[in-house]
Amino acid sequence: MAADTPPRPPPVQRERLLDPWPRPTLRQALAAAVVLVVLIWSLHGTGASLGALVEGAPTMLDFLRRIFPPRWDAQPVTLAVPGAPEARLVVPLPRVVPYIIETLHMAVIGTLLGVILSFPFGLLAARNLAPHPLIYHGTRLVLNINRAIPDILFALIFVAAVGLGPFAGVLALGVGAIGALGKLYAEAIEAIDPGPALAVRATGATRLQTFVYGVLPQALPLMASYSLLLFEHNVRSATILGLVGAGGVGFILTTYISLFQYRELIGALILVIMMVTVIDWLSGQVRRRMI
Amino acid sequence: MSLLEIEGLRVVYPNGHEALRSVSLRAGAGEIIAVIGRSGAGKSTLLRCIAGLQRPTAGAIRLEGEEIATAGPARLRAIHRRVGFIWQEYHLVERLSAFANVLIGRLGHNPGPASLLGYFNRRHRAIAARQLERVGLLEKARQRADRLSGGEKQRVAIARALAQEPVLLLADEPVASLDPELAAQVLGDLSRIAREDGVLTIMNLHQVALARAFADRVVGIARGEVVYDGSPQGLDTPVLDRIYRFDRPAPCAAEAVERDAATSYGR
Repeated sequence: MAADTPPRPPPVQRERLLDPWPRPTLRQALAAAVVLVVLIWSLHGTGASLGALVEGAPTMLDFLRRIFPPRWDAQPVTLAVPGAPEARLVVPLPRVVPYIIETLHMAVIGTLLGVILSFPFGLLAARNLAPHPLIYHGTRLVLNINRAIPDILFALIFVAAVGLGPFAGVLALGVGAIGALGKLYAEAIEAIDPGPALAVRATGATRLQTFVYGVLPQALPLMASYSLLLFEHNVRSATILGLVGAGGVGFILTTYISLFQYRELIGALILVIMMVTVIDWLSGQVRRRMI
Repeated sequence: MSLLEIEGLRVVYPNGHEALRSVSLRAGAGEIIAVIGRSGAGKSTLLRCIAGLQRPTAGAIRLEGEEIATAGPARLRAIHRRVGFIWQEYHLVERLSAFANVLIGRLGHNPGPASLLGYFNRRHRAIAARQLERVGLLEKARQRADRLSGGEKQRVAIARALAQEPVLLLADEPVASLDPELAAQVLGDLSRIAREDGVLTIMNLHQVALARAFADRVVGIARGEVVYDGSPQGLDTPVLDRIYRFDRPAPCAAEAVERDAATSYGR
């Protein structure tokens, strides 16, 4: 019995317990010092200075004066009237609107492509499904590499490959999604309750049947939710792919910037922000209902 | 040749624990057998081995003369098809309907690629509907499994096992998650249907009273060995002592049984 008793803890210093102010431990002091060093180093590295900010203030004010009030350069758009083949309706539409619609199209198809491409990676990167540990680790490595490459780089590559336009953007969004979505799919599959899957297998189902009936129904809500999150991300992402000529609203934003049309730029940005907000809200509503 | 023949079954886990020492058993069609014993006596291991879900260290298990213990994946799948398994935790696919869960029992008989898209021909669907009707849940066929009560879930799980049209039904603590009244009802349904179909049924039970009420043969296991194999009427105090009071002194066997049942509910 005596041999089993754990070593006695060091005697508590009664005086220390009565200190009115808490005294930091050595670990806490060390952690604070490390954070402080990183902050100072980073401040120095980015050349952040209050002086430059004060000096730049008038320029910034001037900029603000030039962007307000926002302006929308409307373009007349001719629409066919349903039911009256001869009639035409001419509506003034801000020039940015067709680009916003193109951005949405890109996000939809880019997400579809991303979902299709990520699915097999998700299966192979799930620990409970991968046929061999080597395949599991190999797939995870591919996903990590993919995640480290920014979408805009994929856009540059695909613009070079298939030319300027939204198709390059769609390819960039789809391929760029594999790293993140594949990993999320794998995690959704790993999170399932193995019991029902085992029960399905125990009925004499094949491996594929066990996956479709025992695994997929459990993982699907989470996978669909992640896919919608990707869609939200793609809507935002597709707005900047235009910077490198891969379609979408980014193209017209860069045009406004290079022509110093800041009021039109802000007008376009307001519409983009509205669109992104509405999409995020809608997608969030759908996601909430899915789980 | 008996329907099920088990000879010298021995299971040693990688950590050195000997779950089954040497179990031999013969059982024929239509028998309803309760396996009783303390937690850790090896009851679950025995059932998992018979179901082909676990490979024994040594020994033979033959179902209709076919060896289970050493069968390859394809043979094993064919055996799984004929063996219905009922789990303590039901193991339904919660997001699917009750009917879809019962249809899962037909997967082994419907191996084509169309099954992956949800195709089951009318015969498969009729069998599933009939089994759901037999457990009294046809009107809840379209309800999602996670909306069912515990007793209903286990009934759906029973229907799923029956939909396989099995020659052998295995039930591992089928009612341990249910309250006593419900437990008796569900077990009553299970044994009634098993009797109607004449299907050999082996169930692990915690409560001796349930074994007495619903089984026509009781196998008592202690420390990985069969210490009793006979009628429920033969379960007198010395026998229960052998099964339950193996290495600890207890004032009386009945109390030990109760305590055992109480402790194993907690897992």
